[in-house]
Amino acid sequence: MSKGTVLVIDDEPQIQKMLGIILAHADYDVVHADNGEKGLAAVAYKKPQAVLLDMGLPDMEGFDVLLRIREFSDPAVIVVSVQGQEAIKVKCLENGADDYITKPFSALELTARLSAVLRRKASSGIMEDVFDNAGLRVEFNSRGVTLNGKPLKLTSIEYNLLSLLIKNTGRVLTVRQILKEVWATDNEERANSVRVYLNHLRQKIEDNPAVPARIINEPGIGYRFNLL
Amino acid sequence: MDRPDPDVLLARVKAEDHRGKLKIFFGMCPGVGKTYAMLQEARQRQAEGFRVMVGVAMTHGRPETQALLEGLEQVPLKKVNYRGITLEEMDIDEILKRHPQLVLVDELAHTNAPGSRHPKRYQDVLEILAADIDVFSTLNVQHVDSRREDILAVTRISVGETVPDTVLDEASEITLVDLSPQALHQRLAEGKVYVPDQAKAAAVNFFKTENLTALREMALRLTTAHVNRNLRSLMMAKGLSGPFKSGERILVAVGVTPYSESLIRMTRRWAGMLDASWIALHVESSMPLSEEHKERLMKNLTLARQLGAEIIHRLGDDLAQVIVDVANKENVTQIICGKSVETKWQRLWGIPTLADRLVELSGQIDVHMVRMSSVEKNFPAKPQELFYKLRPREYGISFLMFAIATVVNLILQSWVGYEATGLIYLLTVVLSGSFLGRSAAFMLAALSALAWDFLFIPPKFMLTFRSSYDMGLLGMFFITGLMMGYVTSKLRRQKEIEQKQRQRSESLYELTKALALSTDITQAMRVATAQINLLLSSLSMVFMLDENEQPVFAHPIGDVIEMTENQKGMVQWVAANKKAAGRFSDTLPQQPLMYLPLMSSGQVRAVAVIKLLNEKPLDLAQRTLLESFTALMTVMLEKDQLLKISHEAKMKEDTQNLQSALLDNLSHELKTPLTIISGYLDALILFHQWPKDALELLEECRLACLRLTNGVDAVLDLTKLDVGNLRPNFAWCEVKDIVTQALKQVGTPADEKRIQVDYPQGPLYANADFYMITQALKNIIHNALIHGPEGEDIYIHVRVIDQKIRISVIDQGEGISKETLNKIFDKFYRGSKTRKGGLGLGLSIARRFVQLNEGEIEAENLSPQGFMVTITLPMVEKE
Repeated sequence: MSKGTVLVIDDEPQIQKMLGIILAHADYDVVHADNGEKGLAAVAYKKPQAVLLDMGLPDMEGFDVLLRIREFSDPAVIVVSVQGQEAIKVKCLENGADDYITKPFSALELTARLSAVLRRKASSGIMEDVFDNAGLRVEFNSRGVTLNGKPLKLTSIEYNLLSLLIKNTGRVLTVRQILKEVWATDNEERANSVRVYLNHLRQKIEDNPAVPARIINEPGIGYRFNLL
Repeated sequence: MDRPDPDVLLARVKAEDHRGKLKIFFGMCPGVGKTYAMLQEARQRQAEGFRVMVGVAMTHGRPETQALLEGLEQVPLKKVNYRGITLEEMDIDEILKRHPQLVLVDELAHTNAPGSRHPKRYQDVLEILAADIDVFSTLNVQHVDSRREDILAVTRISVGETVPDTVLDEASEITLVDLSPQALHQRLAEGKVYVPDQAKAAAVNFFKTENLTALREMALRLTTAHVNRNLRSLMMAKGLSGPFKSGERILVAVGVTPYSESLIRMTRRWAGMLDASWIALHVESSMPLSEEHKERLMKNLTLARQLGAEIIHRLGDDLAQVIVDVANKENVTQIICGKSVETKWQRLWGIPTLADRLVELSGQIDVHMVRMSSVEKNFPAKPQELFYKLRPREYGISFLMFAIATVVNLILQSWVGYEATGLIYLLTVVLSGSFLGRSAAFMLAALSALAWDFLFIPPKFMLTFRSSYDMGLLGMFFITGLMMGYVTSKLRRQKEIEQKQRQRSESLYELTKALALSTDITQAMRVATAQINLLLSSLSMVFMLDENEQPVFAHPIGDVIEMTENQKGMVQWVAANKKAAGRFSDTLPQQPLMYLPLMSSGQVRAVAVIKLLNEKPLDLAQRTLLESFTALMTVMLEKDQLLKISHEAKMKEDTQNLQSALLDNLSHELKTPLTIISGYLDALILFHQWPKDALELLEECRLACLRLTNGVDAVLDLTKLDVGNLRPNFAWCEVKDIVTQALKQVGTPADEKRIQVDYPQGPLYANADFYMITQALKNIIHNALIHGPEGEDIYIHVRVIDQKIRISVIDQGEGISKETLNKIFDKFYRGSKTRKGGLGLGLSIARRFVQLNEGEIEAENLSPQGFMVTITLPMVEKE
């Protein structure tokens, strides 16, 4: 049974073929496009559930393809790029990309990301009243947080941070996105306070703060909340 | 204002950073023991470990002073031959060459032998200070320039050798060497005071007790004033508000009289007391000046400049109006003016003096009147002197005109009435006024009046009148004649002034236009030299300075003047010392060429060399114009410099953009096949069944692929570092995140090694580029995994020491030899016993990344065993 259609926008035939094999094995239908224009057409006609968008296309900037996709459609978009392009990744994440993956990547990493993104898309908008994962329990109605049964004292900013992270479980949030949601500001100078508060939060909710497992830092990009 | 004045701070920093400090041992007169005190303190400094040398010390054979010289390094004096006499002078070149920390220069006011680098010793001292060498020097109060007249008044002795007050201002410390007059007399009696033979007679007069008391008081006052000034600048630098900062600006008008000189000195004292800036204004009138006056004016202006005044030059006949205009424009708060001597004539007619006019016009500005001494009163005021001054040619012409008019009248008188002949005389007077001076016109008017009455008004040949009508007529004639002569000559003078001004602005305009049209700096400089040549009738050329601030002698711009090596040395001196040299300057004025620095933003950009084709000294107009020309040239040089900088910046940006694009492309080209290979390997491993040995082979392939990826990353990083394309993206990074990420990237070690991490409590932040530091740490851990013994653990220690984060990676290996310890961070360095692969790039990249992030990296052997590499980063002190 197909898990959905995935559009691969990449100009390398070998990459297309390789992704075709990997994705087919993971029960996805695969559609190919070898440049941005064709990719946009495929998004319109094939209505894929997810798009793997390469950043090095021959005809247009990957970022522009993303913006145009978001003008008319809402598939999950995973940006494919190489190391050292952190600025572009951040720009994409802040403009509607759901996740990113860095070349070279492993097949398992790719399929895991893809299914996580699709699962999030499917469940978006549905917010449980209670979050409970590996001893961390958050009751959103009463704003009560407990770790292994013991109540945690969180400041209001820490609580807002935590609930934002939980709402975006598995997804990378850039520092600017967090600033906007929790501090309601675009002032980049406050970026460092995001980092400080996240570490306060880590001290409280991580089982071993020295080896953070829930709140993961993505170098140069932002933070990701993982389920244990 | 509570904030420190930034200029004062800057001046302090500058003075403290780059200039030596001047300490003056100050006394009331010779014989108080200045040299002795100076030597004593110098010995103390030497004992403290300073490198002290004696530039020149006048011990005058006194044994106790001579003894103090023992043990101090002495720079040998230079022998100078002057008209057959051998003179000994301080050797400034040798001092600069030996470059001690402190040099002793006795007798600051000394005049150097002709032909020395500077006419005065204090100028030598200023150059030594500029070379960042401290100077001790000695000075007597009678040699201070602004006290010269007081000294004259007290002792009746005119002092020839003086030191400008600005040099005293330069001193960071003035120590008064004090002795009571009685004690001095005793020393004098014991023969302990050196008095030159030829001055013995004068000395008796000079060392009188009342003189000494006055001099002592003067010396004390001057020292106190200096201490106050120091205190003030200290208070301002420390941000303490003092009641001192006055914001006053004083203006003094400088003329040709010797009285001006004392006005200038007086203004300088006044300005010093108020801590105010001051302006010396010279107003050039249409009256031509005699050579003697020109010279004295020049002297007065030079004096004002030496005493620290800003010199302003204006044209105009209405002195008071020009003074007030300049004062308003320059935000002057006080005008100093001499108390004018009102002549009886002026009082009678109620003609206002300059002072009256100034008071009337000055508005908000204070006007101070200073009385003249009796000597000065005898010097005739400028206009009167010129009024009486005989200019034979003008009077000759005037007389000739009178003669012609008389002849014409004699011929005409039979046809016209005597009234008409009067009109012809009148016409002559008006005409004369249009090209002769006022006095000549007045003379003509008087002569005409007499002749008219005598020759034409009946009764003829008598100076009597037939009727009151004729008398009235003659009276009217005389008054009208005088008036017309006065008015027309005044009009003419005004026209002349305007013309002069127009010429001046035209030649400036010509230069500006030509400069604006020139396409490059070379052409602009060529145009400017041509204009200078036109102005001064000279040959001139410009040497640009290269990046090392050395003149480019190979490419002179402008005329080609043959130069000796010495003259080239002068150009270098000007470039280094930022001061004019050669003719009309303080440095080697006897040189035939002029050397002018063209400076912008405090930096010499070029040096102009000018060779005058005649021996005449420059007049004031030429000097001011030359100053304007060089100012314009400087503007051009500055513009050119800015253009170059912006051009270079753009080039650099373009290159970097290109390099970025190429690197992105390269990265893409290398990573794509790697992605394909690892992807297919994954697919093979995951989606197919393999016998165990085949699966192992595939796993090996995948590991190789990972290593290749790491290698490619390293090479790309290094390339980016090499082209300077990598700028750290500073952000607060949690050290745990860095370590976690680095460990993740290193992956699980192949053999049985374990990595143990040890953090202090709580979060730690470094302000750094996360990616770079992570890469650096990853490389170090990787290195430890390769070189550490198999099966032994690796430790990562994070510590905070002195507000710095230290991340250490420790392995249990044998470490490396001391000689190679500092080599391991070199590119492509590989240990001799390296067991496993690696490009030898990891640690080199790590060092460069860490250094880009303002951190440090070091390696050390541990005893008894182990090897440690440590990254040190500045810690962020949050909240």
